[in-house]
Amino acid sequence: MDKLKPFLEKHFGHTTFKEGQRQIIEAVINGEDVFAMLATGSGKSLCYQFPALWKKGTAIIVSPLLSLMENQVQELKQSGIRQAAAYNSFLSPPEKEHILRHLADYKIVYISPESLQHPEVASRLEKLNVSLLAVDEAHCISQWGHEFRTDYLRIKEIRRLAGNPPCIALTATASADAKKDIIEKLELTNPLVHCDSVDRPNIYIDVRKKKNEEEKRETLREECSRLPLPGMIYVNSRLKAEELAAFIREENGLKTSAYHGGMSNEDRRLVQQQFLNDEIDVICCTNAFGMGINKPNIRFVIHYHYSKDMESFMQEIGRAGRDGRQSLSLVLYDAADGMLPRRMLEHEFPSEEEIRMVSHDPDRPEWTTSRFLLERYGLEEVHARFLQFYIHKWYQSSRTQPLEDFISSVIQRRMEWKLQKLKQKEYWLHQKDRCRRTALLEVFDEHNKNIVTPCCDVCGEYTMHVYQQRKERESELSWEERLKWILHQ
Amino acid sequence: MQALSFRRQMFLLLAERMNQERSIQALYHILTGKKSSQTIQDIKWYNVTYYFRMFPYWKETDFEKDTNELQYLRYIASDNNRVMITEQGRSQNDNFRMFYRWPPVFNGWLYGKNAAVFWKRTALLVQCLSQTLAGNRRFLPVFEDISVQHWLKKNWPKTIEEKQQTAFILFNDLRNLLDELDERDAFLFMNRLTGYHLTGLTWTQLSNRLQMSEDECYFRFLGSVHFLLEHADRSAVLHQAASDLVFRDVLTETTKKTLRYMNEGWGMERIARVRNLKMSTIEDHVVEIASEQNNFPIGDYVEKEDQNLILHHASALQTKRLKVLKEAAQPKQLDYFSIRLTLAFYGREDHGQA
Repeated sequence: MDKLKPFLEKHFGHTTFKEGQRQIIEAVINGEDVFAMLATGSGKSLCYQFPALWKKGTAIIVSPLLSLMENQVQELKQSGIRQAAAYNSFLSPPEKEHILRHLADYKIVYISPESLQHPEVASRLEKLNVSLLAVDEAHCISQWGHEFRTDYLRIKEIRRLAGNPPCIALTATASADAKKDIIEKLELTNPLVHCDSVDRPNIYIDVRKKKNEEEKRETLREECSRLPLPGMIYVNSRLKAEELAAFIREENGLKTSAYHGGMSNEDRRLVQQQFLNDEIDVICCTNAFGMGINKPNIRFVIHYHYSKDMESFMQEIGRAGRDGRQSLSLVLYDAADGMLPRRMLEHEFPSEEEIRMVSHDPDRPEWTTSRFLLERYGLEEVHARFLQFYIHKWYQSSRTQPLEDFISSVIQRRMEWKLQKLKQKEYWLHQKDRCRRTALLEVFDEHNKNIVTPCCDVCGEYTMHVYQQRKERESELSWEERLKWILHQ
Repeated sequence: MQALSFRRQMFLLLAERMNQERSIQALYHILTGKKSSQTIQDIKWYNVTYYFRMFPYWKETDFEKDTNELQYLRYIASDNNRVMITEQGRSQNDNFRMFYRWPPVFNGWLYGKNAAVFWKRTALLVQCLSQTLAGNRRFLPVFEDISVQHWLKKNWPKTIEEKQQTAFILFNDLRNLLDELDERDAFLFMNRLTGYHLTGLTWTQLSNRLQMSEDECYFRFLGSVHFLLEHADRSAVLHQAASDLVFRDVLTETTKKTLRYMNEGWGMERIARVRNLKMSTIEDHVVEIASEQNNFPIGDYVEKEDQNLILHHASALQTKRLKVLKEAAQPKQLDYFSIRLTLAFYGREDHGQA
């Protein structure tokens, strides 16, 4: 008799599993490791929530997004699953302590990779019966892991500490080599690998080379005057995001806003909400925007600057057309666009001088903390974390190489790898004789492309039909009218 | 004469108030709201509490650029690291004051941090009421601070009738209160609020809408929040959001510790030793306490005669510069601590003259 289905209905209110879910869930319940690449909106979270409730013990979910964590816990609680908590740096010390002391009473605990590294957390996990360890947004391991989120690389240590519970890695997009990287870094053993196709047949892929910035702008103005709305424009600097938001507002009379890491939390939330509520037509953003946003009706994603690799590109264009309707991805680039990503690449790592300074400092303790590095040498936070991670790694190694060389060679390798990813992206942009979709899917190890029309600028030109009448601008509300509306008077 | 940016204008007004007796850095600390003993004394001595924490986000590097530019344009000059306002600066200020309508309330010293909490509570309450009354349970809260969410949970109206009632009261109270403000101040406040199908605007968007700089938008918006906080008693709902806030945390944490020892009758040297702090630090604390407490036993620290001497010279010479006062008091040998303490204690208007 099938026991899973009644359980599904009782706890989650669904009567059937979506494609792939059942297989993954059964594997986790049987104690196997799983690597799952699932399209957004295909019920990723059920893959660990179900086994978490089913199995004895506490499930630990590692998730990089604080807001997403909170949302999921709220949703679980709303549907009657009360033994869920989110543990992160936003909590006050008593709140943290409360969760830690009652860990065993929870079925699901969400935790950020940073918090997972705290000694008090680790020591509690050691005594806990961990039913499974899920790593959400697992692509962060290979995309950011080495520089931004060194904590991600330490997950496997925590796993060992917790008595090697089954581990499930989840992501929406991972290229073939990222997949390998994730499996390796998490030390998954003979994992069940489940991959949905990353193809998005309702997105037309267009790439246009322009002579210079002016031409790009002109095209942007034209496209924004005729394309269906709403849409997104990706750029690679805060300043440019602000600039283009103002440009489109003035030139096209559209409601726009910038979104980037330099804005206050409060303003970022407002923009996000305005966009979700269709109060903004076009959002001009850096890659700080997007993760965890599920807006079904985005009609176009324009890359005014191209992304640093194919995976990010796939993720970013994948935000368009989630409702299944025809949508567009357009990349505009000129010859000078390659410079900034290269410069940013260099800046992702500590400089040679900083490495030398840190390596040769006799007063640096063996178990140095990133805070120490930050304060003593005035390093940037990500650089300090990066160095701390590799200094520890060096001490754990055989130390045949001097520390300075050890770190430099790590950086050398990472830089080359990243540069190669960037070049792969650029190669894809420049080539004019192969179907863009085919070439894009190959990066993800998919070789049997379905025939899609319209497909891409190489396969055939296509002008997106504007089926939606542009709304007249609503007149602005006075403060009193706004007050009346908001409070339903 | 060219128009100054709002920030620079505010700096210039403050520079004039500070009577050419403080460094550029001291002004920076006031405008960004640094809670140190020195800054706290400054704002009280010069009676400029309403400049405190006006631009908490002003970066030091930007500030340097702004003030260098003001020097270059000859609105201010610097003498011995003191900010001097020039004639041109003064007339710029006169001009500005003639046309500028200051918001009815702005007091970063009194309301600064509390205003932020009060605002978050009010905004979250309004959003949740708006969404639930529209039957929408799934929305992104404008604030995720756990303490704010806890407050809301505690004060959340349970039944639908209570919710409607709260919304009705809040609507009437806000309409009456905001009506007393300038049109655009009410507009700023309302347009930062988020509700069902109406999301608040960012500072950039407000700045475009009102054709007013982001700094000024922020300043006037905060003024509206301070105004509501000051008049929170007139609204049952706003009162609830403000009741446990006002006047908390006037002293810095470390000063509070010193105060606890003092209340147990410990002398300053002993406190310094036990706390492992420099004597001068403890002196700072005592000065801070003197400026806050009406019943501070100033006579235990400074002789009555010396107090009078200091106050006499301060008023005769129209200065609060320690060195000048010390010299004026000669041949009597006064130490700086006595002078600072006396000025701090009597700097409060409600002490009256000795």
